[in-house]
Amino acid sequence: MIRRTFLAAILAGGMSACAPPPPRPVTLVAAPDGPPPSKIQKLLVWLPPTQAGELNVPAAFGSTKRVHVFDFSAFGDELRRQFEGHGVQVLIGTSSGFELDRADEQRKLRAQFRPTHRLEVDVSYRSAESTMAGSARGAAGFLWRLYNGEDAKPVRAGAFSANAQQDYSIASADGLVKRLDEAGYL
Amino acid sequence: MGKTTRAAAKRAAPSCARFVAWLLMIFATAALAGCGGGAPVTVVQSKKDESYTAKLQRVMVVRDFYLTGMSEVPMNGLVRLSEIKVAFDTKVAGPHGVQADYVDVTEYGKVVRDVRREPAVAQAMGTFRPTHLLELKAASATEKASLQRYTVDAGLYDIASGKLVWRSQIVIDNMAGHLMRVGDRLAPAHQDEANLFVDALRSQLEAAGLL
Repeated sequence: MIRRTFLAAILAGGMSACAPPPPRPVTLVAAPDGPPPSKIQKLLVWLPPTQAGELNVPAAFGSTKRVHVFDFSAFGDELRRQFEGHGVQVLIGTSSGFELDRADEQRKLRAQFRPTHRLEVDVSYRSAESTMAGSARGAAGFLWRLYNGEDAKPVRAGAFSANAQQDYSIASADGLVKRLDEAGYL
Repeated sequence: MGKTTRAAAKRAAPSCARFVAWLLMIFATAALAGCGGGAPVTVVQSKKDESYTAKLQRVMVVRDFYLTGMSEVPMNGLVRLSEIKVAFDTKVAGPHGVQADYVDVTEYGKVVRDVRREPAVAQAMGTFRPTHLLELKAASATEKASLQRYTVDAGLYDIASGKLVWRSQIVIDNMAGHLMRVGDRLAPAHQDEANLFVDALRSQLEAAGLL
């Protein structure tokens, strides 16, 4: 009995140590002198390129291993699904990943779609770490900003993060829509 | 009893030697494999606003190297502002008649969203009155006990228009060409890496017609 309890305790400890950390909640801050929220009707979502969600993590003997940290495609699909549920028209555009002038890259989409708001997501950091014992982890942070129409100044902004242990793409999209809903944009 | 122990020791000796040889071989292979064969500094990509024709006159170089999640010790693996200053003064400012001033906003745990709004930068800009701001921002890092390599996103802003007119992505590989390296805990010097980094910056700025 004692032996079984001891084994169960060890197994439980091991399982909890292996469990990926919970996702950091999507944060939201309002621009200090920004206008009051206006209902989003047509939203242009601007996402980083797919490869921004991948990382090279050092592996054994100097080699590197490509790990997946965030799935922008799944994130975009979930955003579309949830926003459309609120009656918002969504158009998703992808950044070149190396922009000088974002407005210039978006020019065609903005002219065609005429969004009431823009939701732009950027990678703020990417880091990969591996220990001498061989375990590896990758993490990335993202910033999001919401703009009214063609404005250059965001009205709301926030951050979220991801790691290679578990895909938080859907949870992050869900959290972001919830934050905007709570802030009165939906 | 003593005879048995001696016999056992005799039998164990060759296997012990074999074990040590194996260990040595594993370490040698690991060290050689870990020795980065690539260049210490690599330009990944550069881009310039083609309509922009002005050249650098007075540039403020801002170092912003803290990355969220990075622990304090690996930050010693990053090129320092003093090292960048030595290289930039010698390789860019002096030869091209550019005046340069330097500000470091890197601080452990401090995330900078917009360097132009940093108090230290705003204050220095007020006295130096630069025509351009060259932001050196760390974008990603790879750690394995110490900082192995990191990517710097260099962006040049035209102060008058506030526009980003040029940018370049440069990777600094601390392990390239090294069989072993002083650990970040001992805060090693990086003047060689700084020189190569500024060489890469200069070549990209020259190619873009900014110098």
